[in-house]
Amino acid sequence: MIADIFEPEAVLSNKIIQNANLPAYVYDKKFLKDSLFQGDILRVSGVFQDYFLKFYPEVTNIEGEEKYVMVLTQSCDLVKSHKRKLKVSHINVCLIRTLKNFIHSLISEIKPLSLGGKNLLEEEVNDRIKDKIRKLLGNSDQKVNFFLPKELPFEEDMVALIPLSFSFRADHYDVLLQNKVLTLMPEFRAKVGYIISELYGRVGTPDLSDSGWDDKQVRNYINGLLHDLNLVQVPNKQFLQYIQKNWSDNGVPINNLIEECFAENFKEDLKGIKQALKTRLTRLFEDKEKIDLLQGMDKRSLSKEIVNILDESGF
Amino acid sequence: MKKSNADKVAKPVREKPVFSKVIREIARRELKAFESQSDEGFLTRAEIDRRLSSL
Repeated sequence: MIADIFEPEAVLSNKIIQNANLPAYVYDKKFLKDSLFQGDILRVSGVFQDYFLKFYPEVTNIEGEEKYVMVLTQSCDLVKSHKRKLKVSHINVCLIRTLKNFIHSLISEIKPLSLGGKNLLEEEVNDRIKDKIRKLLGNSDQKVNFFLPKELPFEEDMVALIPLSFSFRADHYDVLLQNKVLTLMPEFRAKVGYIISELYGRVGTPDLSDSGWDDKQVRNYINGLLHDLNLVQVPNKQFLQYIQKNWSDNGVPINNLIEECFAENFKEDLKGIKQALKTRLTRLFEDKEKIDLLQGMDKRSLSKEIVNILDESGF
Repeated sequence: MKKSNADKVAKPVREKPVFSKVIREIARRELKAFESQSDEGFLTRAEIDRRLSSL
């Protein structure tokens, strides 16, 4: 029987792993209610929500489901006591979106092939997205966003979109403070500050494409550089093991060993098919009646019979 | 102390695998396809990095 190369839907869905909750590693359990800090999460509700609708009516989706923002203003400018007034006239906050919506927008940017409710991506693209999401979840290498793992009152993982910011007059400090629901650990507050400084402190410089070098030229240059430094790529670890096992100083060149390993793999794949073909032909040669029938066939019918035998053997 | 010849571990002589002409040809093609996929992958990754610059 010919093996079905397409996995049925049920088998594919069995592979889906249920998501566990990520650790809430960015939040500080010591929640200070008397002051705002950079990175504090505020719920957009009550009077604060009224302000939002009044000052930023264009910002949609504020009504309905719970909305949150993150404080961007530096903590040192937010310290308030009866002896000390705020250093700033306005407090900046940025919008927080669900991680799922955020990723959904990114996938739309890539324009995958959408069929039957599924988005199809080639492996390279898919791997790249996974790498990017891994860095986002770890808040490493972030330039414009800050990941906020699920922690009550969040019902799912969220992302603070730092460039999407809004200002509120410092007079509304107490309203904002009343809406504080989560606070970050000091090192993550500093990280938010660092991302903001990166975002606004970037220096725009021309890159290689501005000098007429496209990706292909850059790739060829890199290939040449690595080739000169004797770097040879192999498809996977199995190739490394094969080469290590079979290489000797005065033996076969490395490239031949790579080719050999491809051949070994293919030979291995053929084993089952060869065995099936052998069984099939043995049975055929034992069937005198069938042989007589084949001998009497015209070339076209005979060719069909041969294709059938090959198909049934797994070719 | 100098090692005697008997101490030296002789590496067994490798028996070169034999492949049919067809399998060798397929292996050569697979290697070329692998190298070309890797080069194509470079261009795809560069393009995706540009598109996902906000992540």
